[in-house]
Amino acid sequence: MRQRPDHNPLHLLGLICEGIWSLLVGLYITGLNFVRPGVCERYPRRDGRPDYQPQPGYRGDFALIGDPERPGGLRCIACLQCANVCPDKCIHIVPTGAGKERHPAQFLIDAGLCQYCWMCVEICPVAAITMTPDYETSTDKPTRLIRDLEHLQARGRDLPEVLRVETEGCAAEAE
Amino acid sequence: MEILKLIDNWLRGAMTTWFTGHVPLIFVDILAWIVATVVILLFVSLLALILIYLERKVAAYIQGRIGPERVGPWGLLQTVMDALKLLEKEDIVPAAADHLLHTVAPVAFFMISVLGYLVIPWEETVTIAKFVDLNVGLLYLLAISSLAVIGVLMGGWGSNNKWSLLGAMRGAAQMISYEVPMLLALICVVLQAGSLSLGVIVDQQKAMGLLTWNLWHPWLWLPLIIYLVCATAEVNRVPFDIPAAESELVAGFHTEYSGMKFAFFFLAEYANLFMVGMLFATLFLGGWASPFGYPDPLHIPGVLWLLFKAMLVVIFMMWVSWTLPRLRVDQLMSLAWKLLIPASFLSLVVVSIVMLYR
Repeated sequence: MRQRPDHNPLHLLGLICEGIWSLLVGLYITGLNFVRPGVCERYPRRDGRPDYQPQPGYRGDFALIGDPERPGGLRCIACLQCANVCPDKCIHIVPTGAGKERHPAQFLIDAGLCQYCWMCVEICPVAAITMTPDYETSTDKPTRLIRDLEHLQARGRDLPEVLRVETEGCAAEAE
Repeated sequence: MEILKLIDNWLRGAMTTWFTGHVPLIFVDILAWIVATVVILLFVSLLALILIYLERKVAAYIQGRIGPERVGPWGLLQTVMDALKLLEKEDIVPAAADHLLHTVAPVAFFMISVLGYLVIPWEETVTIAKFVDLNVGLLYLLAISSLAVIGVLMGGWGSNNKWSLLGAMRGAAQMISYEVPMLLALICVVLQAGSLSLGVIVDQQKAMGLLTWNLWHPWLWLPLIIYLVCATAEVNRVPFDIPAAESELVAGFHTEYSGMKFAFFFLAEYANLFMVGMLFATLFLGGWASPFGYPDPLHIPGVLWLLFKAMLVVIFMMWVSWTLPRLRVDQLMSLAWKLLIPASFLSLVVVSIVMLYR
């Protein structure tokens, strides 16, 4: 019968040394990580430092970008393209006015349904809708997840300039 | 443990003055034992809470996380809240389970783990067991630690669950296998000390503090390593956590336990862990004796030295746990029977020869 390699005492000794060495290397690595500072971000902050800022491109709460020269104070022309393209059908728009005066009387987005796929932002011909880096959107009631016109408008007012430019670029590219 | 002595003396004095002629003296004895039992149970429970917190923090730091830090200062109350949560939980017994075994198992497991604490010398000539040193302490300890298998088997069998039963069978096989090399390794220490009494083993190491520890005898290095490996296996810690392998057996022998029964298993696990730390400290690191010589120049009580040393050993074991992956069942068995047992026999022979010609 052929001898199995681990029956050879020399081979066994080699295995033991290898095992001990790998244990020491492992202990060194974990020990090193033990003394290193952690990589976790605390949320919510308690140590007085500013709140966590998400990476660029983060898709959070929605916003409608304003335009003071248009009726309703919004860029949105209520063309319903976003509502149609939305795979989750979470956008509901009540249009009002005709022709150039057309604007949304009500604009509802159900954040509980949304999958943040960015398709509404891409398809919008006037770069009116976008997503903000705001990640604090959790509530204890599902109905509170439905964003109305007022909320979206308010978010649009606080929108950082960078994001506005990005959204416009996105719209131009789509065209 | 001076305080234990004090409580005992006070109780005995008070009882004899209050009840002279009314109750036989045996009741005074029984009351004193009950008080001592409560003290040690409280001590073990508190210790387990601290160890669980420590374990979570060590694991978190090793994995680059932060660990509990929200409940109480630095998250210190996290384990207390967890214990309260477990207290509130429903106590579920599976319909087809053996009701009696299922209920008794966690208590048995916990009691067995606490029994070991009786013979550890906390301070000069002070152990919990009637405040004197048991002259076969080590033998007693080994006997107790092998009893833990019963709790595991009871829990696994009584749950009537395939995972539990598999975990229990694995646990029994593992604990019995590792008992053998552990015993042989500890006999080497007994040969060195010439006594089975833990108190005597510490007494022989205390003379010059750090320098006279058993740790510095080269012929005891092999038994030391063997003991540490076997003890890790004995308390079912990673890399030997095969009885409770989460990824394979859900939670092993305590799969079907909830609420306080589960907490008992958890508590016992950490009590066992600390027991190993204390035994290691007693055998190799001078136990309660100060590392700076005898008597202690710093006047720190021996208990604190013992706890400190045991804590260091426990932290080292946690460090190893969070470094290594779990062994396979066949690897575990071949490690015990093919490697550790021959090695422990070898070290026994070596130590015997050294003792003969020293």
